[in-house]
Amino acid sequence: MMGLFGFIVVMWAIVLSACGFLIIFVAPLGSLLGIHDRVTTSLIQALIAIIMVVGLVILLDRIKKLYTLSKLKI
Amino acid sequence: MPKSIKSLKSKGQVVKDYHKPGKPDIPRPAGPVLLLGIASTEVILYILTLSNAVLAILLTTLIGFTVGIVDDRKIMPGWFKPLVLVAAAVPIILLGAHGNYLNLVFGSVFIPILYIPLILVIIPVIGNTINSIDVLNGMASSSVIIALIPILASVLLFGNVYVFLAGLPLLAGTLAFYKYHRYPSRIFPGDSGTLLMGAMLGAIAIAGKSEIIAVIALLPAVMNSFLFLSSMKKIVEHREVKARPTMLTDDFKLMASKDKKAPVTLLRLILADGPLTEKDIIKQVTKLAIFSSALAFISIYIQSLFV
Repeated sequence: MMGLFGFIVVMWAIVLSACGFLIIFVAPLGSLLGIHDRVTTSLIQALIAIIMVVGLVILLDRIKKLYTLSKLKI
Repeated sequence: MPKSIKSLKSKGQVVKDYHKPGKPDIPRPAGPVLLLGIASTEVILYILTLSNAVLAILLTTLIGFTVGIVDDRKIMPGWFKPLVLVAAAVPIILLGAHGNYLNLVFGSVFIPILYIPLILVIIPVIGNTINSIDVLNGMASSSVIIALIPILASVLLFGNVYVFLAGLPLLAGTLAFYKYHRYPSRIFPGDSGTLLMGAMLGAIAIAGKSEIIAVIALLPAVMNSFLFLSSMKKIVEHREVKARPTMLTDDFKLMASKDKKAPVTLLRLILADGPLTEKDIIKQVTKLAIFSSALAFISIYIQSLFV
Protein backbone atom coordinates (compact mmCIF):
# COMPACT_ATOMS: atom_id res chain seq x y z
CA MET A 1 0.00 0.00 0.00
CA MET A 2 2.88 2.39 0.80
CA GLY A 3 4.04 1.85 -2.78
CA LEU A 4 0.80 3.32 -4.08
CA PHE A 5 1.29 6.47 -2.00
CA GLY A 6 4.78 6.64 -3.51
CA PHE A 7 3.33 6.21 -7.01
CA ILE A 8 0.95 9.12 -6.35
CA VAL A 9 3.82 11.29 -5.08
CA VAL A 10 5.79 10.45 -8.27
CA MET A 11 2.77 11.43 -10.40
CA TRP A 12 2.42 14.67 -8.40
CA ALA A 13 6.12 15.44 -8.85
CA ILE A 14 5.81 14.80 -12.60
CA VAL A 15 2.81 17.18 -12.86
CA LEU A 16 4.66 19.91 -10.90
CA SER A 17 7.87 19.43 -12.92
CA ALA A 18 5.91 19.73 -16.16
CA CYS A 19 4.24 22.91 -14.88
CA GLY A 20 7.62 24.34 -13.83
CA PHE A 21 9.21 23.50 -17.20
CA LEU A 22 6.33 25.13 -19.10
CA ILE A 23 6.51 28.31 -16.98
CA ILE A 24 10.31 28.67 -17.00
CA PHE A 25 11.21 27.59 -20.54
CA VAL A 26 8.16 27.32 -22.81
CA ALA A 27 6.06 30.36 -21.82
CA PRO A 28 8.82 32.95 -22.47
CA LEU A 29 10.02 31.12 -25.62
CA GLY A 30 9.20 34.04 -27.96
CA SER A 31 11.43 36.46 -26.10
CA LEU A 32 14.10 33.79 -25.42
CA LEU A 33 14.44 32.94 -29.15
CA GLY A 34 13.69 36.45 -30.39
CA ILE A 35 10.60 35.36 -32.38
CA HIS A 36 8.03 38.14 -32.62
CA ASP A 37 5.34 36.34 -34.66
CA ARG A 38 2.73 35.15 -32.12
CA VAL A 39 1.35 32.35 -34.31
CA THR A 40 4.82 30.84 -34.87
CA THR A 41 5.64 31.13 -31.18
CA SER A 42 2.32 29.48 -30.21
CA LEU A 43 2.89 26.62 -32.67
CA ILE A 44 6.39 25.95 -31.31
CA GLN A 45 5.08 26.17 -27.72
CA ALA A 46 2.23 23.74 -28.51
CA LEU A 47 4.66 21.33 -30.19
CA ILE A 48 7.02 21.37 -27.19
CA ALA A 49 4.10 20.90 -24.77
CA ILE A 50 2.77 17.92 -26.77
CA ILE A 51 6.24 16.31 -26.97
CA MET A 52 6.66 16.87 -23.24
CA VAL A 53 3.29 15.28 -22.42
CA VAL A 54 4.04 12.26 -24.65
CA GLY A 55 7.46 11.93 -23.00
CA LEU A 56 5.94 12.07 -19.52
CA VAL A 57 3.33 9.44 -20.45
CA ILE A 58 6.14 7.14 -21.70
CA LEU A 59 8.12 7.78 -18.49
CA LEU A 60 5.05 7.03 -16.35
CA ASP A 61 4.38 3.89 -18.38
CA ARG A 62 7.95 2.68 -17.63
CA ILE A 63 7.50 3.40 -13.92
CA LYS A 64 4.15 1.57 -14.02
CA LYS A 65 5.75 -1.47 -15.69
CA LEU A 66 8.52 -1.63 -13.07
CA TYR A 67 6.03 -1.18 -10.25
CA THR A 68 3.52 -3.75 -11.51
CA LEU A 69 6.32 -6.23 -12.23
CA SER A 70 7.54 -6.01 -8.65
CA LYS A 71 4.06 -5.96 -7.09
CA LEU A 72 2.08 -8.42 -9.20
CA LYS A 73 5.03 -10.56 -10.31
CA ILE A 74 3.55 -11.03 -13.81
CA MET B 1 -33.43 9.31 -3.06
CA PRO B 2 -35.53 6.71 -1.14
CA LYS B 3 -38.45 7.39 -3.55
CA SER B 4 -36.12 6.93 -6.50
CA ILE B 5 -34.83 3.64 -5.03
CA LYS B 6 -38.42 2.41 -4.62
CA SER B 7 -39.42 3.55 -8.12
CA LEU B 8 -36.40 1.93 -9.82
CA LYS B 9 -37.02 -1.32 -7.92
CA SER B 10 -40.70 -1.41 -8.93
CA LYS B 11 -39.73 -0.84 -12.59
CA GLY B 12 -37.17 -3.65 -12.35
CA GLN B 13 -34.26 -1.31 -13.11
CA VAL B 14 -31.77 -3.22 -10.99
CA VAL B 15 -28.34 -4.80 -11.41
CA LYS B 16 -26.60 -7.47 -9.36
CA ASP B 17 -24.00 -6.49 -6.77
CA TYR B 18 -21.62 -9.37 -7.49
CA HIS B 19 -19.34 -8.69 -4.53
CA LYS B 20 -21.96 -9.50 -1.88
CA PRO B 21 -23.25 -12.86 -0.66
CA GLY B 22 -26.49 -13.70 -2.49
CA LYS B 23 -25.71 -11.10 -5.18
CA PRO B 24 -28.50 -8.65 -4.19
CA ASP B 25 -30.37 -6.56 -6.78
CA ILE B 26 -29.39 -2.89 -6.52
CA PRO B 27 -31.43 -0.14 -8.24
CA ARG B 28 -29.65 1.80 -10.98
CA PRO B 29 -29.24 4.56 -12.25
CA ALA B 30 -29.26 7.37 -9.68
CA GLY B 31 -28.23 9.86 -12.39
CA PRO B 32 -31.74 11.30 -12.99
CA VAL B 33 -32.45 12.07 -9.32
CA LEU B 34 -28.92 13.47 -8.89
CA LEU B 35 -29.46 15.70 -11.93
CA LEU B 36 -32.81 16.88 -10.63
CA GLY B 37 -31.28 18.09 -7.37
CA ILE B 38 -28.18 19.66 -8.89
CA ALA B 39 -29.74 21.20 -12.02
CA SER B 40 -32.64 22.81 -10.14
CA THR B 41 -30.17 24.61 -7.84
CA GLU B 42 -28.01 25.63 -10.80
CA VAL B 43 -31.07 27.07 -12.62
CA ILE B 44 -31.93 29.20 -9.56
CA LEU B 45 -28.28 30.31 -9.31
CA TYR B 46 -28.28 31.27 -13.01
CA ILE B 47 -31.50 33.30 -12.64
CA LEU B 48 -29.97 35.15 -9.69
CA THR B 49 -26.52 35.77 -11.24
CA LEU B 50 -27.04 35.57 -15.04
CA SER B 51 -23.46 34.28 -15.10
CA ASN B 52 -22.32 32.61 -18.33
CA ALA B 53 -20.01 30.38 -16.28
CA VAL B 54 -22.96 29.03 -14.26
CA LEU B 55 -24.96 28.41 -17.47
CA ALA B 56 -21.96 26.66 -19.09
CA ILE B 57 -21.52 24.40 -16.03
CA LEU B 58 -25.24 23.56 -16.10
CA LEU B 59 -25.24 22.74 -19.83
CA THR B 60 -22.04 20.67 -19.58
CA THR B 61 -23.59 18.72 -16.71
CA LEU B 62 -26.78 18.14 -18.73
CA ILE B 63 -24.85 16.85 -21.75
CA GLY B 64 -22.67 14.63 -19.55
CA PHE B 65 -25.83 13.19 -17.99
CA THR B 66 -27.45 12.64 -21.42
CA VAL B 67 -24.40 10.71 -22.68
CA GLY B 68 -24.53 8.61 -19.53
CA ILE B 69 -28.25 7.86 -19.67
CA VAL B 70 -27.89 6.65 -23.28
CA ASP B 71 -25.13 4.30 -22.07
CA ASP B 72 -27.30 3.20 -19.11
CA ARG B 73 -30.19 2.26 -21.42
CA LYS B 74 -28.17 0.73 -24.25
CA ILE B 75 -24.72 -0.89 -24.21
CA MET B 76 -22.56 1.38 -26.37
CA PRO B 77 -19.07 0.66 -27.77
CA GLY B 78 -15.94 1.77 -25.88
CA TRP B 79 -15.35 4.85 -28.05
CA PHE B 80 -18.86 6.23 -27.45
CA LYS B 81 -18.41 7.96 -24.09
CA PRO B 82 -15.03 9.68 -24.68
CA LEU B 83 -16.02 10.83 -28.18
CA VAL B 84 -19.54 12.06 -27.44
CA LEU B 85 -18.43 13.71 -24.20
CA VAL B 86 -16.47 16.19 -26.33
CA ALA B 87 -19.90 17.78 -26.98
CA ALA B 88 -20.20 18.46 -23.24
CA ALA B 89 -17.19 20.80 -23.52
CA VAL B 90 -18.80 22.92 -26.25
CA PRO B 91 -21.00 25.12 -23.95
CA ILE B 92 -17.88 26.20 -22.02
CA ILE B 93 -16.25 27.38 -25.25
CA LEU B 94 -19.37 28.94 -26.83
CA LEU B 95 -20.29 30.83 -23.65
CA GLY B 96 -16.69 31.91 -23.05
CA ALA B 97 -16.68 30.45 -19.53
CA HIS B 98 -12.97 29.67 -19.76
CA GLY B 99 -10.19 32.14 -19.23
CA ASN B 100 -7.30 32.85 -21.59
CA TYR B 101 -4.71 31.99 -18.93
CA LEU B 102 -3.91 28.47 -17.75
CA ASN B 103 -2.80 28.27 -14.12
CA LEU B 104 0.32 26.10 -13.91
CA VAL B 105 1.00 26.25 -10.15
CA PHE B 106 4.24 28.27 -10.57
CA GLY B 107 2.49 30.93 -12.64
CA SER B 108 0.07 31.15 -15.53
CA VAL B 109 0.45 31.08 -19.30
CA PHE B 110 -1.53 33.09 -21.86
CA ILE B 111 -2.93 30.54 -24.31
CA PRO B 112 -6.15 31.96 -25.83
CA ILE B 113 -6.21 29.57 -28.82
CA LEU B 114 -4.52 26.50 -27.31
CA TYR B 115 -6.99 26.54 -24.44
CA ILE B 116 -9.88 25.46 -26.69
CA PRO B 117 -8.53 22.03 -27.73
CA LEU B 118 -7.46 21.55 -24.12
CA ILE B 119 -11.07 22.05 -22.94
CA LEU B 120 -12.26 19.52 -25.54
CA VAL B 121 -9.87 17.01 -23.94
CA ILE B 122 -10.38 17.83 -20.23
CA ILE B 123 -14.15 17.18 -20.07
CA PRO B 124 -14.09 13.67 -21.67
CA VAL B 125 -10.99 12.74 -19.65
CA ILE B 126 -12.44 13.78 -16.25
CA GLY B 127 -15.87 12.33 -17.14
CA ASN B 128 -14.39 8.95 -18.02
CA THR B 129 -11.97 9.06 -15.08
CA ILE B 130 -14.88 9.30 -12.61
CA ASN B 131 -16.79 6.70 -14.62
CA SER B 132 -13.94 4.19 -14.47
CA ILE B 133 -13.37 4.54 -10.69
CA ASP B 134 -16.98 3.45 -10.07
CA VAL B 135 -16.11 -0.19 -9.42
CA LEU B 136 -17.04 -0.69 -5.76
CA ASN B 137 -19.72 0.68 -3.43
CA GLY B 138 -19.39 4.42 -2.90
CA MET B 139 -16.05 4.78 -4.65
CA ALA B 140 -17.08 7.27 -7.36
CA SER B 141 -19.09 9.51 -5.03
CA SER B 142 -16.48 9.52 -2.23
CA SER B 143 -13.70 10.28 -4.75
CA VAL B 144 -15.70 13.26 -6.07
CA ILE B 145 -16.48 14.57 -2.57
CA ILE B 146 -12.87 14.34 -1.37
CA ALA B 147 -11.47 15.90 -4.57
CA LEU B 148 -14.07 18.69 -4.57
CA ILE B 149 -12.81 20.18 -1.29
CA PRO B 150 -9.40 21.38 -2.60
CA ILE B 151 -10.91 22.13 -6.04
CA LEU B 152 -13.54 24.45 -4.54
CA ALA B 153 -10.90 26.07 -2.32
CA SER B 154 -8.80 26.68 -5.44
CA VAL B 155 -11.82 28.04 -7.37
CA LEU B 156 -12.50 30.49 -4.56
CA LEU B 157 -8.85 31.62 -4.47
CA PHE B 158 -7.97 31.67 -8.17
CA GLY B 159 -11.31 31.54 -9.99
CA ASN B 160 -14.49 33.45 -9.23
CA VAL B 161 -17.21 33.32 -6.61
CA TYR B 162 -20.03 32.40 -9.06
CA VAL B 163 -18.16 29.26 -10.13
CA PHE B 164 -17.55 28.45 -6.46
CA LEU B 165 -21.29 28.82 -5.79
CA ALA B 166 -22.02 26.66 -8.85
CA GLY B 167 -19.77 23.97 -7.41
CA LEU B 168 -21.60 23.78 -4.07
CA PRO B 169 -24.68 21.93 -5.48
CA LEU B 170 -22.35 19.20 -6.77
CA LEU B 171 -20.79 18.86 -3.32
CA ALA B 172 -24.18 18.88 -1.56
CA GLY B 173 -25.79 16.55 -4.13
CA THR B 174 -22.91 14.07 -4.04
CA LEU B 175 -22.86 14.13 -0.22
CA ALA B 176 -26.60 13.37 -0.15
CA PHE B 177 -26.12 10.63 -2.74
CA TYR B 178 -23.15 9.15 -0.86
CA LYS B 179 -25.46 8.32 2.07
CA TYR B 180 -27.17 5.74 -0.21
CA HIS B 181 -24.19 4.85 -2.40
CA ARG B 182 -21.69 4.05 0.37
CA TYR B 183 -21.02 0.46 1.43
CA PRO B 184 -23.40 -1.43 1.37
CA SER B 185 -24.91 0.44 -1.60
CA ARG B 186 -28.65 0.90 -1.79
CA ILE B 187 -28.43 2.51 -5.24
CA PHE B 188 -25.79 2.73 -8.00
CA PRO B 189 -25.10 5.95 -9.93
CA GLY B 190 -24.93 4.32 -13.36
CA ASP B 191 -23.11 6.01 -16.23
CA SER B 192 -25.59 8.90 -16.06
CA GLY B 193 -24.54 9.59 -12.45
CA THR B 194 -20.79 9.20 -12.90
CA LEU B 195 -20.59 11.13 -16.17
CA LEU B 196 -22.77 13.89 -14.69
CA MET B 197 -20.38 14.19 -11.72
CA GLY B 198 -17.26 13.95 -13.91
CA ALA B 199 -18.41 16.43 -16.57
CA MET B 200 -19.54 18.91 -13.92
CA LEU B 201 -16.28 18.57 -11.99
CA GLY B 202 -14.35 19.23 -15.22
CA ALA B 203 -16.50 22.28 -16.04
CA ILE B 204 -16.01 23.71 -12.52
CA ALA B 205 -12.24 23.17 -12.79
CA ILE B 206 -12.06 24.95 -16.18
CA ALA B 207 -14.41 27.84 -15.34
CA GLY B 208 -12.72 28.17 -11.93
CA LYS B 209 -9.16 28.23 -13.32
CA SER B 210 -8.24 25.13 -11.32
CA GLU B 211 -7.45 22.48 -13.95
CA ILE B 212 -4.07 21.38 -12.56
CA ILE B 213 -5.38 21.36 -8.97
CA ALA B 214 -8.26 19.13 -10.16
CA VAL B 215 -5.81 16.70 -11.81
CA ILE B 216 -3.79 16.49 -8.57
CA ALA B 217 -6.89 16.09 -6.36
CA LEU B 218 -8.11 13.29 -8.63
CA LEU B 219 -4.76 11.47 -8.85
CA PRO B 220 -6.02 8.03 -7.64
CA ALA B 221 -8.80 8.10 -10.26
CA VAL B 222 -6.40 9.48 -12.91
CA MET B 223 -3.92 6.74 -11.96
CA ASN B 224 -6.64 4.09 -12.34
CA SER B 225 -7.54 5.34 -15.84
CA PHE B 226 -3.88 5.61 -16.82
CA LEU B 227 -3.07 2.09 -15.60
CA PHE B 228 -6.08 0.66 -17.45
CA LEU B 229 -5.41 2.49 -20.73
CA SER B 230 -1.69 1.82 -20.56
CA SER B 231 -2.22 -1.93 -20.15
CA MET B 232 -5.08 -2.22 -22.69
CA LYS B 233 -3.35 0.11 -25.23
CA LYS B 234 -6.78 1.24 -26.50
CA ILE B 235 -10.08 2.71 -25.31
CA VAL B 236 -12.29 -0.22 -24.35
CA GLU B 237 -15.42 -0.66 -22.21
CA HIS B 238 -14.80 -2.48 -18.90
CA ARG B 239 -17.53 -4.98 -19.74
CA GLU B 240 -15.69 -5.85 -22.99
CA VAL B 241 -12.54 -6.93 -21.09
CA LYS B 242 -12.44 -10.73 -21.02
CA ALA B 243 -9.59 -11.22 -18.51
CA ARG B 244 -10.81 -9.64 -15.26
CA PRO B 245 -8.25 -7.73 -13.13
CA THR B 246 -9.69 -9.12 -9.87
CA MET B 247 -11.38 -12.34 -8.73
CA LEU B 248 -13.84 -13.11 -5.97
CA THR B 249 -12.85 -15.73 -3.39
CA ASP B 250 -15.32 -18.13 -1.73
CA ASP B 251 -15.39 -15.97 1.41
CA PHE B 252 -16.33 -12.89 -0.68
CA LYS B 253 -12.91 -11.28 -0.63
CA LEU B 254 -11.38 -9.79 -3.74
CA MET B 255 -7.97 -10.93 -4.96
CA ALA B 256 -5.65 -9.73 -7.73
CA SER B 257 -5.67 -11.76 -10.92
CA LYS B 258 -2.40 -13.40 -11.99
CA ASP B 259 -3.54 -13.40 -15.61
CA LYS B 260 -0.98 -11.54 -17.75
CA LYS B 261 -3.75 -10.46 -20.16
CA ALA B 262 -5.84 -8.84 -17.41
CA PRO B 263 -5.63 -5.03 -17.27
CA VAL B 264 -3.68 -3.39 -14.46
CA THR B 265 -6.03 -1.26 -12.36
CA LEU B 266 -5.79 0.59 -9.05
CA LEU B 267 -7.85 -2.17 -7.43
CA ARG B 268 -5.54 -4.89 -8.72
CA LEU B 269 -2.50 -3.08 -7.32
CA ILE B 270 -4.19 -2.57 -3.93
CA LEU B 271 -4.91 -6.32 -3.88
CA ALA B 272 -1.34 -7.24 -4.84
CA ASP B 273 -0.47 -7.64 -1.14
CA GLY B 274 -3.26 -10.19 -0.63
CA PRO B 275 -7.06 -10.60 -0.75
CA LEU B 276 -9.18 -7.95 0.97
CA THR B 277 -12.87 -7.44 1.67
CA GLU B 278 -14.75 -4.85 -0.38
CA LYS B 279 -15.01 -2.62 2.71
CA ASP B 280 -11.23 -2.73 3.29
CA ILE B 281 -10.49 -1.85 -0.34
CA ILE B 282 -12.85 1.13 -0.14
CA LYS B 283 -10.97 2.30 2.99
CA GLN B 284 -7.63 2.08 1.12
CA VAL B 285 -8.97 4.03 -1.88
CA THR B 286 -10.39 6.68 0.49
CA LYS B 287 -6.95 7.02 2.14
CA LEU B 288 -5.36 7.54 -1.30
CA ALA B 289 -8.01 10.13 -2.21
CA ILE B 290 -7.43 12.05 1.04
CA PHE B 291 -3.65 11.90 0.45
CA SER B 292 -4.10 13.34 -3.07
CA SER B 293 -6.34 16.09 -1.76
CA ALA B 294 -3.61 16.97 0.75
CA LEU B 295 -1.14 17.20 -2.17
CA ALA B 296 -3.67 19.42 -3.98
CA PHE B 297 -3.78 21.73 -0.93
CA ILE B 298 0.06 21.90 -0.91
CA SER B 299 -0.11 22.79 -4.63
CA ILE B 300 -2.71 25.50 -3.90
CA TYR B 301 -0.31 26.94 -1.29
CA ILE B 302 2.58 26.90 -3.80
CA GLN B 303 0.33 28.51 -6.43
CA SER B 304 -0.72 31.26 -4.00
CA LEU B 305 2.97 32.23 -3.67
CA PHE B 306 3.24 32.90 -7.40
CA VAL B 307 -0.04 34.78 -8.01
